[in-house]
Amino acid sequence: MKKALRYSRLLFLMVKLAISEEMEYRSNFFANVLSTVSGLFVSLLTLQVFFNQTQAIGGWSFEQVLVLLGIFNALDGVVKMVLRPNIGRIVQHIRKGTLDLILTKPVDSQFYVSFRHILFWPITDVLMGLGLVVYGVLQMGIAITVTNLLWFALLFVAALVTLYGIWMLLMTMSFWFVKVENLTFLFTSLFETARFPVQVYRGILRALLTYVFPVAVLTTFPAAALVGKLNGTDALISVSIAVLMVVVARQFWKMALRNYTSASS
Amino acid sequence: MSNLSKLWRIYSRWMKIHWAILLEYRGDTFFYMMGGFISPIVTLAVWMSVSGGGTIGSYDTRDFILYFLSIMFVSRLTASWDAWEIEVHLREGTLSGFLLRPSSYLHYRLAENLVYKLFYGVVMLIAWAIAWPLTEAVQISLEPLHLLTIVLAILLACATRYLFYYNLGMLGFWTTRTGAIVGLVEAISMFLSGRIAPYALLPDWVKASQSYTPFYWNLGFPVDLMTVKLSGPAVWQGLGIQVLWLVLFIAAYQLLWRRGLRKYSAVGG
Repeated sequence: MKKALRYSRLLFLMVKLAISEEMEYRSNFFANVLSTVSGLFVSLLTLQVFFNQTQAIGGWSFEQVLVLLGIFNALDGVVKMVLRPNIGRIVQHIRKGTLDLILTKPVDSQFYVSFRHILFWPITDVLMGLGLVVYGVLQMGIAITVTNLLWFALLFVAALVTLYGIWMLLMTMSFWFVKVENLTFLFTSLFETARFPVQVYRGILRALLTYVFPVAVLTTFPAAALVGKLNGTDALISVSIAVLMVVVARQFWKMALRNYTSASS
Repeated sequence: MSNLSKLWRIYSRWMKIHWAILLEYRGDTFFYMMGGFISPIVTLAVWMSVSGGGTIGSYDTRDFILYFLSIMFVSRLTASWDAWEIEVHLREGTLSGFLLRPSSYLHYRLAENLVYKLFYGVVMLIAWAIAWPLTEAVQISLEPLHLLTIVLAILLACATRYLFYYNLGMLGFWTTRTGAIVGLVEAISMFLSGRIAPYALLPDWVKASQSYTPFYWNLGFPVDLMTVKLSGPAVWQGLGIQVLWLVLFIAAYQLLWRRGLRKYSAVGG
């Protein structure tokens, strides 16, 4: 308990540090808003093209897909805020041997490399994403029950945890492959599949996107919870995958550290 | 003649170097290639789900598959990453090293592009050939004149899109915000180039954009040729428009490079 308190205080400090660092580059805020808005605009236009030809994709109506798209944007914002800025650095830490410094700090190394460098401005992606979720729900004109909301909250957390687990696994691979920039590119491309409900994909592809690269857990299930499409199996899959991901990522990190021999200079 | 053989020597040397780099980072090359294929597959999956095995406009299931396979093929062959590379060379000042060499920086960049394109091209042609007897979807018409127009259209698209991004990269001589500009162009091109849907299924205002933007001609047009959605004079007219865009971008290159170098002061040491 005391430990948890200490780590949340540390996390709070890191966020504060990030904010004060970025207040120096205030124009980045506008650049970020601009790119968020244009990104959203393009994805809305894209949806429009699909819905010009049909009433539903994969059994999801336009408003329901809007909710899903909002969740996608919020998660994308989290990737930009926390995951991407840190992954670039871990590769450098390993290549240059500065990981040694982190290992000697009196703090869990995984925690430190995951959260040390937070970018603050992509918060606009998170906020606009959540805004889109609210808009989609309002447009649907259905009453949201407390149960729905609670399920959504739970599955959204599961999505965040899963996303973190995937990134951590990728980051840890840089112990063996020194150049993983293209792995992040591959992740970004695979993440694109989360823009649409997993029901769009058929057969083996859907299974892969549910269990192997679980984009269904990232956007489909949380959105389903909110719009009232969720079933028990989906919820169970979500939570199990989230737990599994974070445990595997933790073990993989420990294993990688055991094999780490530093880069001598 | 001696000019030509000199150029040949420059290119063969640079290309050998880039080939060695490609082999050294073969894992990355592979991941990069696969990553580029995912977005067309996603879009194809959505269209298949929307059409549900039926027809939309003039596109049935086979047409959709061929369309997005062609998108993968053409967009990989016409890809240009120079804007990002040039930005780095400008920001870190490493461009200076290239300016001291007896051959132009353009040759260095172009040689890199050619090596990767040749590699991707061979790999994709082999994959296409393997798929040929397996599925009818990939069996395009092999009529020589048709093939010739496809090859011409892809080559013109390659050159134009290459110079387009190269020119964007050179904006780095004047601004440090090239990344944002390129991002914006990418977002626009996503929509106007035909990546999301065949032009026939896009709204009218997108169709209208083909008369004053190069995006359709750099991707949608060669793909429409491969899927035989265009015929007769429209084909030759399209090739003509491609040539016009290419000439325009060559002129822009000349201007930006000359003005840019005058503006350039190396950063860092």
